[in-house]
Amino acid sequence: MALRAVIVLLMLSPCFGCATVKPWDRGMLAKPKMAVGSDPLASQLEQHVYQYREGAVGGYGSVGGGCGCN
Amino acid sequence: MARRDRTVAIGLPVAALTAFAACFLASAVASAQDQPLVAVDARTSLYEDTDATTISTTIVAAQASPIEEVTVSGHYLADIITTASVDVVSAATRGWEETRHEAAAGAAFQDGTVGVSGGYVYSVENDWSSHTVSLAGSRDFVEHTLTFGLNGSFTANAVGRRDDPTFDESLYQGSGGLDAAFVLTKRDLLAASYTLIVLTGYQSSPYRFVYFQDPNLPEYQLSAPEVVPNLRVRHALGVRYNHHMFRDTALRLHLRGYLDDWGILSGTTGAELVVGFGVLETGVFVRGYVQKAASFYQDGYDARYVNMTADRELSSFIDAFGGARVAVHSGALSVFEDLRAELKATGFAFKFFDFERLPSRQGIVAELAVGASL
Repeated sequence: MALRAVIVLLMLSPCFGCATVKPWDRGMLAKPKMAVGSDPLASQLEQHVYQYREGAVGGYGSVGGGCGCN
Repeated sequence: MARRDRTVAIGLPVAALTAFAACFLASAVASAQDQPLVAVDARTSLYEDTDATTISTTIVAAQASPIEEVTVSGHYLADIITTASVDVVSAATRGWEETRHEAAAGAAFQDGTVGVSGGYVYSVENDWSSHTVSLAGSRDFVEHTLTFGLNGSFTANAVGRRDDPTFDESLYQGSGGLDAAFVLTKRDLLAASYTLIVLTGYQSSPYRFVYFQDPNLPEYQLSAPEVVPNLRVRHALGVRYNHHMFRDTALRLHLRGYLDDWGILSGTTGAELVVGFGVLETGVFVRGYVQKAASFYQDGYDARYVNMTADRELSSFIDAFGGARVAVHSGALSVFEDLRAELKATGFAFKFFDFERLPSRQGIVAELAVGASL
């Protein structure tokens, strides 16, 4: 239980030390090149190359937002 | 039921589903006349390596938003593989060529705070077919500063063997993921993802043979079909960090750790610098990977073991990828909201530490993409 609490706190820790970025301050974050997983087609072909040649897979998730601008 | 018959049997509902998806997409496009939210993209790549393998992959994808919150999408992908790799040669067969077809359809809802999506993928080749269903959901918190997501998928695979209608195996895969994305500052984004994958069923290659020695017959080198465990539990944890540097320039970094109950432990890291010059966008990228072998992997076995593999992807190795890309976006032009094209070139090298038949492998991947939004 304590371990879970620590993990949750670690995951949330980036939000504690900084103020919420207001919508009007998100211009740079809204650019396509700043999006996480900005080109799904390119990512799909790229991961296709790796997953058949390496023993690892996963870890790149499906959340594409995070900036409230998608 | 023989595998070939089963493939035909599952092909019919897939064709019906694909037709349904096409009709759904067409009606969505028709009803979206007031909203310029239709996009069609195509991307083709050519892979070639020093292990006598060439792969041509082409994907065509379309998506439409009949209403602001809903997107429907679909794609078709074809992989044409020509190979005479050491795997093929050591199985005492000639080189071969085969084509894999993949069709997918999906729908997503996003209201600005909550996102839900679902999809279906069907893939078929001469000795393999699979069905995958997936679901994902996400929600933004704290004025869109945090996004948490959950996703899951299930895949049923039917595994066959070329020219052997009696060979009929199954492989099932379930996966689940947790995602979190954070807005750190007005220039910085951080995303973390954990993926759990459980596979059960036939996971060997039906064409791969393993060489071993029998202590009672030391003068002979014997061979047997590869055998790996039926169960595999895989864990991956990845972190991505994007930083807006200056003007139209972004630095994108990623780091991933992976382990599974076959004993594989690996790390991946990479970086991409993306620079915009008006309608042009350029990027340079590097990626590195290091892997420790599966616990039962050996390049040669001194006796017959329960699990034996000759799969170099389960051995210890390192690899590095690097390349560059250039893309152009027209912006609004005539009836188009955007026209785009991209060229990308990647070079790579592998160094295998315990695979005598192929100590290293180098290659290139060239890609061309075009797309349009209405």
